[in-house]
Amino acid sequence: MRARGVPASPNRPTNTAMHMRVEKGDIAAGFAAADVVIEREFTTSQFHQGYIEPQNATALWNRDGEITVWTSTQGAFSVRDQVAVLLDVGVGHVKVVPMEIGGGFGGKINVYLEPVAALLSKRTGRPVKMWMSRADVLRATGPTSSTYNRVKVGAKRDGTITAVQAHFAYAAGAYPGSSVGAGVQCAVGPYEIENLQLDGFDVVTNTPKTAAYRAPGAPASEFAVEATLDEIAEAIDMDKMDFRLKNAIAEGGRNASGQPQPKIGAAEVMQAIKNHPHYTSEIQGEDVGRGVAMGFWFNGGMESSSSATVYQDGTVGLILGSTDIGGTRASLAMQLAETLGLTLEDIKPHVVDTDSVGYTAVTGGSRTTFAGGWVAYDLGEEIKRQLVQRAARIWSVPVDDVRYEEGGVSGPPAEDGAPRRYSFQEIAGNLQRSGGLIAVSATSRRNTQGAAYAGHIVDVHVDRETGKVSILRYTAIQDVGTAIHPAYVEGQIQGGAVQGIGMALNEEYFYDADGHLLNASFLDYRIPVANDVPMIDTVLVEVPNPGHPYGVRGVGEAPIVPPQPAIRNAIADAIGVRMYHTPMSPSRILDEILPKE
Amino acid sequence: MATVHIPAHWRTHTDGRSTVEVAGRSLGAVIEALGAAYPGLRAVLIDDGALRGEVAVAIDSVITENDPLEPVDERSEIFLVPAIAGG
Repeated sequence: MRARGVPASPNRPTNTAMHMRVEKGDIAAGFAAADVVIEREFTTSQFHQGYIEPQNATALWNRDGEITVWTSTQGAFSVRDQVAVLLDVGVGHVKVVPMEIGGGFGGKINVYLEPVAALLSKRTGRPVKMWMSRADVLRATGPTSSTYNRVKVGAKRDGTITAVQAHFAYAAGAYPGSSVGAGVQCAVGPYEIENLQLDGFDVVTNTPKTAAYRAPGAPASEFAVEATLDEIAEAIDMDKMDFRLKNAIAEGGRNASGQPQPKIGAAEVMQAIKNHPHYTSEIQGEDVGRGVAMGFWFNGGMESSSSATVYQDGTVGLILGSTDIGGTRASLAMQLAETLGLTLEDIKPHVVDTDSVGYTAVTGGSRTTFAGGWVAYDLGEEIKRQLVQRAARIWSVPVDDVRYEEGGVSGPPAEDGAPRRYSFQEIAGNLQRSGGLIAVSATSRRNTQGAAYAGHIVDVHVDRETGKVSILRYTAIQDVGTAIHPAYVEGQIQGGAVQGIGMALNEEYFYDADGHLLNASFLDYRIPVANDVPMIDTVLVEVPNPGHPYGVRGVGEAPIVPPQPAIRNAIADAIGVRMYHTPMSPSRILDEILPKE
Repeated sequence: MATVHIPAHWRTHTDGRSTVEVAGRSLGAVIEALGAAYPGLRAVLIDDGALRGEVAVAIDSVITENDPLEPVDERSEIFLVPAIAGG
């Protein structure tokens, strides 16, 4: 295998498919300037997304050559494009109808069954439905990478981080393409580091092909960095959040790749943690400890499309290309309503098939409320422009004399002095008599999404006899830009935190010596259940994104990042045992405790 | 001229340079000029006439859609980074 990125082609076989390096400043000078240097090694297991319904697809390949696919997916257009390539047909001959989806978390982007069902339909002349069992899902749809990571951090006694050097090796499975690139770029996301050298290795292994999972690549690399930073803070006897605040990246700062940052909320989140009653309260009880950690994710922009029609009763149909995950319809309808000065109930959102709306990228990458919101805003502005024109026509006045304001149009006074005003409902009722209903469409491809920063505080109790870690209190704080639908934003943060807790404490792929998965069921692959976690308290820090008309940032992925290091740091605080592997299952905790007792 | 930041693992293709000054008023023109000056870099960046899918390009603080028509300012900083997939 030829290794891309390695300076010279290797002269012996290697399972390193790709090597990348992010470098900044002078790493040797950085460590020379440090008062304290700590180097640690970490490993993480493979975790699965654990979405509700297994993969499924129904396909009909008509004799006229047109293919229709009904499937549970994060992205109907992504499915369309993949099916078209795999079956060697034009995208115009494939229609994908997205069904309601019970979460995807990155696992419902790749196609598995769709092209097979289509081919079987062609052979049989009938519609064909296929679905996976849960065991199929766990064996064949791609968990995260398992990882080996080594991190070395240097810092001055005043808390300044002088250097970070790291080696991240991610198992890709049977084919190249792990998420190590994102892992490397996210590793020190919350901080501005003057001198760093981060190496990433995409390693091919005899295990299933890995796939994206919520903030792909970030939880493992940031676990290693945040855990090491915790030890640095203790070594220089500095408050954990003061230490992080001293190194926080801010507007104008340069990230690991050297890119200047727009307005971001890393420091605001850190300050919110420091001020929170959970952080400032006393810890009580034996073998109880508290941990904190930060998390970072880039967020996505990409392409979204929608159309809208003003109906004669004053409601507005909003046609979406984004499948609804976590409240997409509501959050996008709210942004159109805001632009038009209407209520959410006035907007009727619909998710449609790929023949019925313009191209829209997947619901993923924490992009949908941002990108779809931009489209909703553009639609609203165009509707307002056309309503102003229509009112001017009805009133026989210049367009420039008509304004859209407070959910309606206003014009100059009539000849008798009476004010000219139509509410949205009134002008909508006049549309068919003044030129027809208004239908508009828009596409956005903006990438001014800004990044997301999350910080979690957790209290745990460790049972020294069983090794079980119980979560006593959990607070998740995050810069969400503007919370369009606060309850859905809280739900995203809570869901991300619980998935991260699963990675931290329970979830793990077990293989036998021949590479067979031993725990291909939810009985043995143990995701957290309701009685494993307390209420996840949330704090929404709002640092509006200047790159969005309503200040939106993505929120879905960042909250899965902090749980592993926060819980690891809490366990260390509780019993003085530092863990270097996740999950920190009872048996692994006992492996550390027993030799010391 | 725009400044292109070269990732450390590709600097073998640019004689060790971490930044390269490149003329061009669009992303496509910049990448073309960069590839002409450094053929080894062209091989890792471009496949079948287009930027490889695993490469992302940021102009200043904004990741682009790798659109060759994306305008580039003379003072722009261009960053070549691994493409990131969300979940």
